Amino acid sequence: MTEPIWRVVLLEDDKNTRTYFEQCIAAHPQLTLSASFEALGAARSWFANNSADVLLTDLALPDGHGLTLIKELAQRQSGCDILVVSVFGDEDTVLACVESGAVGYIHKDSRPADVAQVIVDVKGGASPISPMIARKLLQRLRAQVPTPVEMPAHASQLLSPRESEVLELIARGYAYSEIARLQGVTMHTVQSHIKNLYSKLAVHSRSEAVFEASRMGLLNSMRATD
Amino acid sequence: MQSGRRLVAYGMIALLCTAAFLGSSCTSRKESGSRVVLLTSASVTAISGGVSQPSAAISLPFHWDVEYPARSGHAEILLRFARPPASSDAKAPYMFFITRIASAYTLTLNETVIASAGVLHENGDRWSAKQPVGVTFPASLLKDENELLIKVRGDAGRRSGVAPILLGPAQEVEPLRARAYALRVGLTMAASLFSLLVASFCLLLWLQQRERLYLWACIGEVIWALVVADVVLEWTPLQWPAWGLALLMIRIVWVWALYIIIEQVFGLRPRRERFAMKVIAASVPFVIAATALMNTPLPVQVWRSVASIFMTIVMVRLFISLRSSFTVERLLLVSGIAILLLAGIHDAFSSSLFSSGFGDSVWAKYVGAVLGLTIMWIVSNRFRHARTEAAQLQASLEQRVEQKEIELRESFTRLSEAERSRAVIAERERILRDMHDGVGANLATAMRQLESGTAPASDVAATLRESLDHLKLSIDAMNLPTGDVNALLASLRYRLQPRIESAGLQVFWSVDELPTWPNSSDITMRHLQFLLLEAFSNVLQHASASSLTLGAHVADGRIELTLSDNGCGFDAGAKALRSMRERANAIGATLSVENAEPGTRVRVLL
Repeated sequence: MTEPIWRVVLLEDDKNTRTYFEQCIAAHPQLTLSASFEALGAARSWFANNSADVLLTDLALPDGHGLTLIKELAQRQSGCDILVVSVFGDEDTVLACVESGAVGYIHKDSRPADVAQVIVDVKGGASPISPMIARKLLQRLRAQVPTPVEMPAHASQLLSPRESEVLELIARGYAYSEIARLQGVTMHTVQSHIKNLYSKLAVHSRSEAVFEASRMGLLNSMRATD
Repeated sequence: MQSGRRLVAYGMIALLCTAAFLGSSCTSRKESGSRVVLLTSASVTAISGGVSQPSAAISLPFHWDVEYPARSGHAEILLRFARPPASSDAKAPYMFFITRIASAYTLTLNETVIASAGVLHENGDRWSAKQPVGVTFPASLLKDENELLIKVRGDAGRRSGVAPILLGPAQEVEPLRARAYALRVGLTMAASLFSLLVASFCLLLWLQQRERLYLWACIGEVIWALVVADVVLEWTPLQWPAWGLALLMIRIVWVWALYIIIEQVFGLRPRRERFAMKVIAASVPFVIAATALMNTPLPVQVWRSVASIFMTIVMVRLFISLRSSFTVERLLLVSGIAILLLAGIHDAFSSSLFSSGFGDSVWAKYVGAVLGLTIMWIVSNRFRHARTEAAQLQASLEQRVEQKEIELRESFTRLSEAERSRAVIAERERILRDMHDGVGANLATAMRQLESGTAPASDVAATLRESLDHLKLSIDAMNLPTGDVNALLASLRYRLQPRIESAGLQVFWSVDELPTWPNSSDITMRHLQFLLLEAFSNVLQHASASSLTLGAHVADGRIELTLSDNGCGFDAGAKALRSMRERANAIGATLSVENAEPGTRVRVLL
């Protein structure tokens, strides 16, 4: 069985970093670099006609914010997993990206092998998560309990007991392997829990936006047809 | 403006005076119909104090107090008169009409008793005989020569006596009687009711604003209503002279109330005058005692005269003071009292001291209404002013509250700005300290390593990596919930994971769900983070260990953190250890570092 080759697109304005990531990708047998951009506009027009399996993107770009592309791709190319390049992986930035449709992040100072491994893992169903993000996720999903009636997605539906347990253990500092052992499941299961959570969060934040929009009277026509 | 008001006030007073005069002239007017005769010639025989006085010819009115001052007794008054002019109807009844006959009496016409009232032989009985008397009798009782015998009891000081008598056909006398009745009884009742009305008005105002003036105006008017009502009272609640003395008692309260009203309007009176007023009021019990002991109304009369003179003096002084400090209110009050005083003097002369006025109506009871009106005007005026002032006060108070609110808001803004800048300074200090202890130190080391030219690139990279870790931990620390040791441990492991892995260390993680660390703050959290980082770094850099165990549990209500490795032990004198001890002291934690053969065990008890 031959392992699949993943097409990667890179969007990073800093030349050194871009070169570093390009080298990391080139060095891995399962990855191939489809395109590499230093500006948002060029990347957006490329994606208008092309597709990829993974997008590696910086956020602060000379001609705009990376979130714009993340939102576009999350809508149009569900097959493309998006990873954000971050120096610190601080929870607020990462969560904003996840809510827009990203599946995780890569540290700028990661070692070459780690960079490639994160990409391959993501394609294999994993999602990078830090304890701080897990804690924020728990807070955010649990804070939704008093949901307005019109809200389609309910908080308790968002978080299954198993997922909640996984998040709590991650927030306490346990590694995936340790959680798998503690719960008697495979590491792959634990990872897919995280990825599910991420996509739920993105969907949830979109439905929240719909709710907000309808509340502001933007979707009156939609409501009339209900 | 001032002169205009003055004019209005004088005009009002002139009007009131005219009204009072007209009223009084109405009461004294007597109309004689063509067939009505006035009987005045009489002979009187009196028994006073058991001594019979010789018979004497008099002309009515007969006034006991004038004829026999300070004595009690009986009088028999005999009137002889010819047959009065015949009525058109021979059988039509006739009528005697007497404006006043007091106290107890019996009327005998040609040896037939035609009227009687009270108990003739009981001195001072409760019958007070204040109302006009009309006696109707059949025409058949009249002869050509007639004798009307009036027996009447005289009580000292009670204004006993007999007024001139009108005789005529009942149908002609009755209208005169009815008219006199309406004037004396009806008007008096009206005056009394009016005083009660003013009293209740003042009481209502007093209930809203506890002003001394309103209360005393109310008390004064209630007493006045009672005193006026007494004028038409046929049966008194007490016998004479007890009832007279009781009236005197409440009258002095009335004078007192009036004096207080004067003080409220004119300001505090001079000390001597107030003293005199107090003496006059306080002397009332002695006057009463003297009256009872001596059985003579003389003390009361003396006292009344003194009080009247005193009030007259006060009035004059008030009038004089008006010239320097005029207000409409003052003029009205002093005029009202002066008119009443004049009426009182008139009453005293006309109906108490001389016979001629006996039976005439007293003026004071009507004129009292003028004073009542004046007081009502003053009180309502005061009330209106007080309300206006209260409204203004309220408005200015609201304005002040608003002003204060604005000031408070401004000072609050200033304070919160100061608080913010203080917080910014504190945060800046914290970041600087972090930079100095962490990244700064690491960067300096990396610089030295590069400059020395001897350090391998991997060492420099390790130093720089460490500095990045410091930076990431600093950022994590900003987001750490205060007191959440679980989050602190998790972030530490997450950030150090790459170094732990590259060092080939196996981690045994045994972290319970920990309670919130009590009394912690951002600063203590930061100290604990640095302390643990130091412990981890020590294992990573110096211990040459292959496994590391972190335990976090609750023991005896305290959070216990243990970090054990299987390496080569700890250098007790190391700079790192000193720094760890300092931080443990700063956060009030117990730190112990033991050689565990093999390895080291660091224990932190929070």
